[in-house]
Parts: sequence; structure tokens; C-alpha cells
Amino acid sequence: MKFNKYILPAFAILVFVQLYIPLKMVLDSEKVLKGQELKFKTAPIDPTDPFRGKYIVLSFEENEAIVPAFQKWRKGELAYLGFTSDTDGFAIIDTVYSFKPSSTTDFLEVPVTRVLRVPNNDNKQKIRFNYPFNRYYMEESKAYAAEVFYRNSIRDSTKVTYAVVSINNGKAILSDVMCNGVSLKDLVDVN
Amino acid sequence: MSLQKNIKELLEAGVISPEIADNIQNYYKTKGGNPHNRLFVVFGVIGALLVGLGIILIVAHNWDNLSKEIKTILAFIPLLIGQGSCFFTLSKKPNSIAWRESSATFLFFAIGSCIALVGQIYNLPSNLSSFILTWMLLALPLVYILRSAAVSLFYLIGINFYLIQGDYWLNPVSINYTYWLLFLAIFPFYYYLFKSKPKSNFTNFHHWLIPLSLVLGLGTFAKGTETLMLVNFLSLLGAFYLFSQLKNIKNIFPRSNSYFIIGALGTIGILLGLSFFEIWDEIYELDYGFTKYIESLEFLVAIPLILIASYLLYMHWQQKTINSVFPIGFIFLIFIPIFILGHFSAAAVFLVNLLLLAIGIFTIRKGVQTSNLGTLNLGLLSIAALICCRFFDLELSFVLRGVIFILVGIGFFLANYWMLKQTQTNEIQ
Repeated sequence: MKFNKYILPAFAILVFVQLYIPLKMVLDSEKVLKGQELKFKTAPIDPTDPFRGKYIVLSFEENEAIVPAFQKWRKGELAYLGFTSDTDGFAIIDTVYSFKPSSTTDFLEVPVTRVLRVPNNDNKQKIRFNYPFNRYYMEESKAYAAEVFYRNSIRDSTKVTYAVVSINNGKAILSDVMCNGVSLKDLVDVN
Repeated sequence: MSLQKNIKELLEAGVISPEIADNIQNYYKTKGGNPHNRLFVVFGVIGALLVGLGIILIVAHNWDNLSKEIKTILAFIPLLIGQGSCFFTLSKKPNSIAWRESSATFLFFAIGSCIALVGQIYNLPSNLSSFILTWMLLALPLVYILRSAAVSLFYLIGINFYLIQGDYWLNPVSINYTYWLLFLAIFPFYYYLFKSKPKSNFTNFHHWLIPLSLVLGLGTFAKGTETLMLVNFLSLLGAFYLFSQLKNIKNIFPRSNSYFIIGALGTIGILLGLSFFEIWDEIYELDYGFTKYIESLEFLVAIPLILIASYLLYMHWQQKTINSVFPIGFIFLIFIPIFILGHFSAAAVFLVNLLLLAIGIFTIRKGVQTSNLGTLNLGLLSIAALICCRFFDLELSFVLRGVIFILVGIGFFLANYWMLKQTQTNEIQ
């Protein structure tokens, strides 16, 4: 394998590519964080990702939408969701597009996981989806305690738990999980 | 060290002269390389591996108390250190194996940790497959630029992990073309190791990982007529076995011939599985029909595999070593009519059992003829495994099973004892 004079330039290109990929991930994420900020009410589970540490899995209340049946949605198709806020300030689905909207960047791209009939209404379909921001990474010593606190707070009607998410041009970044306005990380520390 | 001791012993006993002792030492030094350098390489790689793994563990700890910006900067530090050490190696120590392997290994893990940390900091949606794919693609050039065999091994493990993380276990599975491209990308380096360092331990590890990756990757072609994959796997394993026994290949493997072990044990293992009625019941029930078989992807893959294995068999015939590969080297061909028969008749299961018995007997005979303990034990193991499998089928009393086990055990002991005695007698003569 004799190509000595090309090795250093090849290595330089490799260094550039190796730095570019994670940097692009950072820049894309920062761009999404500047987008529309929404609060999603959560409805959890405590696993471990061996490469990225402990996290809690989040599931959300607002995870389905009623759409006209003539649109004939199918499982696996991509839906583009536009959101607005309810009276309490939590995100609710406002519009569902079957194509990427060009007039706004405040939308989220999600795959449809289930298509259901609406009882007594053949003109409507119900589509369900999983949000991509379903993992919240925490320090491993706090993750279990957070999960327990979280489960208890879901059952307690005086507590409202929600995820703070920024969306931009189909992508989303989860910034924090809050309970009654206080970050879960801080609540676990206090308790 | 034992060589040094032996040489010293022979010198003191006057068996060899000091000149001959020097010649022997010089010969082994040039043949195997300086053992101290090898040790340094090993410690260097292990050290880099531990540091790299330590970084991964720290990644998993989650640094809650730091700001996002600080975490992001810290995420890039191992990557920059790794790149710096590789640059130093390329410019100042390009011929040092220890430096090349250690710095490349460190950078390999630093790439993974950087991407993982950024994903964790921004709580990015998880996709283990795409994470591993990105990691391996960024690490692949290190194999060629730094000529790092260690990174090549990690790369092979990584792409196999990527393969099974995808939809490998779905039925029908979809062909993972990306995996095959990734696998082919490492072949030039494997060939380079094979040619330039045939006796190296790194090369030996590749001799294990490459065929195992091929076996795993073959599973991606099970698309609809999965039963035909039995023919494909036996052809691939047969090809490994035949390849391993070629005259100019046999001597290349320093200690264990991985292609031989995987080929022989894999073939016998599949046949043992096929020695049960239940498998043939399923083949009979899942009869896809001739047309569907011929039109299937599995059939398309079977053709080149059978041709390659047949060509290797032909090479043995040309080298006049055809007897040495009998019977295991022929199984892939013999199995084809048995497989066809299995769609019509239960006789196929009896034939497989007879085939296994024949393999056992012929292998024992070959072991005795060549005074090879390994071959003898392979034959004995085949028969013992066959007997064990039949225990699950046949209704025998515990006492009878116990007696048969004892007899098989005594048979093992006596055969090995007799073989050792023969070997000692031949040595004395």
C-alpha cells in the first residue's frame, strides 16, 4: 500500500469530514431551537441507551388527529403538523398537511403509525403518530428518580407535566421536561 | 521465552554449537518480528481501547451541571485529541505500528463519542442504525490512511452490529445493500494483510471475522423462500471448508484454520439441525412450488455460491487432494437432491442422519490414517452430537441413555489414547 504523498492530504480531508458531521448536527439543532417553542403535555417508561446514557421515554397526549377520509392516509406516510396553543398554553394540532408546507417553517414532520376509523363517521379518519422527541436524557443517578417522580405526577391531577419543544421546518428539539413550571432535573435534585 | 530456554538447554548439553544457536534465534526474529515490539503494539492498542471506552462511559454519565455550549465544546475535545495524535503519528512516526494502531483506535472511539454526546446534549431522536452507520463511515478511511488492523477489526464488528440493528430479523427481510458496500470496502485491506502479514495475529482475527460476517450477511437474502437458504448456507460453508484445504492456503494459517473450523462445524451444525423431523415437516408444509423457487432471490444467490464451491472442489481434483476433503467438502452438492426429496418424502430426514453418520465415520478414519488428533476428535464429536440429538427424538429410558453416554465417552477416551500411543510409537521408530 504505497501512496505516502497522498496520505496527509487524505487525512486532512478526513479530519474535515469528521468535524463537519457532528458540527452540522449542532448547527441544525441550534437552528431548530430558534423556531416555534411549544409545550407538549406528557402522559412515561426507564431504559438505557448504551452510547448516550440514561433517559426517560416520554409519550404525549396530543398524538392523534382527525382528518378527512378522502385523503386516504396510510401507515408509514409522512404527515406535516401545524400547532397552536390552547387556553392553558399547551400545544394542540391545528393543521395536518400531507405535503411539506412552503408558506411556513413552523411545522413538524411525523410518520403516521396508525390509521383508524372514526365511529359513526365515514367522512373522517383518525391518524396517530409518534413524536421524534420522545427521549429526555438525564444524569444516570437522577434518571430513575425522575421517572418515579414523573409517574407520580401523572397520577396527581394538581400537577401538570409537559415537554418544552422547539420546532422548525419539520424538525424538533426537546429542551426540557417541566412539572408545574419547574424543570424535572431541579425537582429531582430538591426531592 | 520458551525458545530461549530450549536453545540455552541445547547449548549446555552440547547438542548445538553457539553459531547454530545464533542462527536459530535470528531466524525466529526475522520470521515472527521482535516480540517486544509486538507486546508494545498490544499494550498500546489495549491502552487506547481502555481510554476510548472510558470516554464512552463518561458520555453515558450525563453532565447536567454544565451548560449546553460547554458540553458541546467538551464533546469535540476527544475527537480533536484523536485527530492530533493521528497527525503526529503520520508526520513523525509513520512506520511505528504501535503509534499507528493506538492513535487510530483512540480516534475510532472518539468519533463515536462525539456523535453520541451531541445527540445526548440536544436530545436528538434516537436511531442506533444510522448512528453506527455514520460512525463506521467516518472511521473507515482510518483503516487505509493509518493502515490500522485494530480499527479494521472494530469496523467489521461495527458493521455487523449495524446489520442486526436494522430489519435483519423481519420476515421477509430486505436486502441491506449498504451493509454489503461497507463489507466490500474493507476487502482491499484484508487482502493487504493477507499478502503482507500472513502470520500476524491481527490477520488471524480477520480470518475469523470475515467469514463470520459473510455468514451473517448471507441471511439478508432470505426474502420469501427461506427454506432455500439451507442450500445457500451449506454452499457458503462448503466453500470455506474447501478453500481452507487448498494446498497453498493451508500453510498460511498460523495456528487455527478459521475457514476450516467455520466450514466444517457450520456444515455439521446445519445437518444436525436438519436431522430432526420437525424441520422437514416445515419444509414440506412451506412447499413454495418449483416456479416460485426458480424466480426467488434465494435461488439467484444459490447459483454463484454453488458454482464457487464447485470450482473449489474442481481445484482439489486438479491438485489431487479430492480425497482429503471427502466427505464434508461434498455435502453442499449431496444436500441438493436431499432438499428436493424433502418436499415429497420423509426419507430426506433419514438420509441426513446417514450423511452425518458417514461424516463421523469417514472423519474418524481420516484422523486415524493421518494420525491427526483434531480430525479424529471432529469425527467422534459428530457421532456423539448425532447420538445426543437422537435422544430428543427417541423414547429411551434414562438407564439406557446413561449407558450409551458412558460408551461414547469410553470410545472417545480409547480412540484418543490409542492415537497417542500410535504417535509415540512412530516417533520412537
